[in-house]
Amino acid sequence: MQTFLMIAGMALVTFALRYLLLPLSGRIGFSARMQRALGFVPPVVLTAIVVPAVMLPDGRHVQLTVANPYLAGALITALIAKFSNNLLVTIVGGMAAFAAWQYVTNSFKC
Amino acid sequence: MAFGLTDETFAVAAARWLRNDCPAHNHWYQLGSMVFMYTNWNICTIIGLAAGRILEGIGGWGLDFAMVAAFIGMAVPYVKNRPTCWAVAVAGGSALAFHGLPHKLGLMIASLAGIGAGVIAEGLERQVTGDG
Repeated sequence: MQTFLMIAGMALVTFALRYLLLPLSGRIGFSARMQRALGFVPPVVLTAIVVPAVMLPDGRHVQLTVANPYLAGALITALIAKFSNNLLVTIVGGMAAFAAWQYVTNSFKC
Repeated sequence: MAFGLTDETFAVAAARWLRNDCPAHNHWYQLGSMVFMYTNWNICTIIGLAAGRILEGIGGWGLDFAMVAAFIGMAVPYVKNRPTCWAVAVAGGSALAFHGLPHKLGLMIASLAGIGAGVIAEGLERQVTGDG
């Protein structure tokens, strides 16, 4: 029951925030500087989420080694993304690189 | 419609809005994207629940990398100029530095720092090109 209430609460908050703010968004005029600043939001927030996930896969220790499949996978994914216009190709290629890297590094353990 | 606005739907819908000069149908496009993505999301959640029960040790497969791959794929097209590079670098570095803070404060600090860095870098660049 508690889980259900939590989910319902989250749904309510999500909906309320957006329902209340969206009509306002049509009326607020942003200054040019503010608009430029907001333009940075998507890449910045995405990066802020991705970098800790890649460097600290288990949440605690920084793994800046060649053996970290998340790190290698992320770099390869970024490369593919840069040269491919296709998001699906990027994701699939990135996952493949990650899986391959994980397989190789696991084969060398013990 | 506001409820259904996820990161992925935003990416798809924003591309359509930017490209299109006929705005009459755009919101249907977004609604369609939303309905499909939400349905797919739930179907995949169910599949994930089932697979989690049936297959042992699937937690160790690192499937959570799919999120990282998707986010990288979405973020890279934005990085086209020098200020954005700075913004992203600062955001990444701050996120690492502050990841230990509770309630994901590190994420918020990193976001603000990244945006700030981008704005500053852009301001500096404009000064340079303004003089030169």
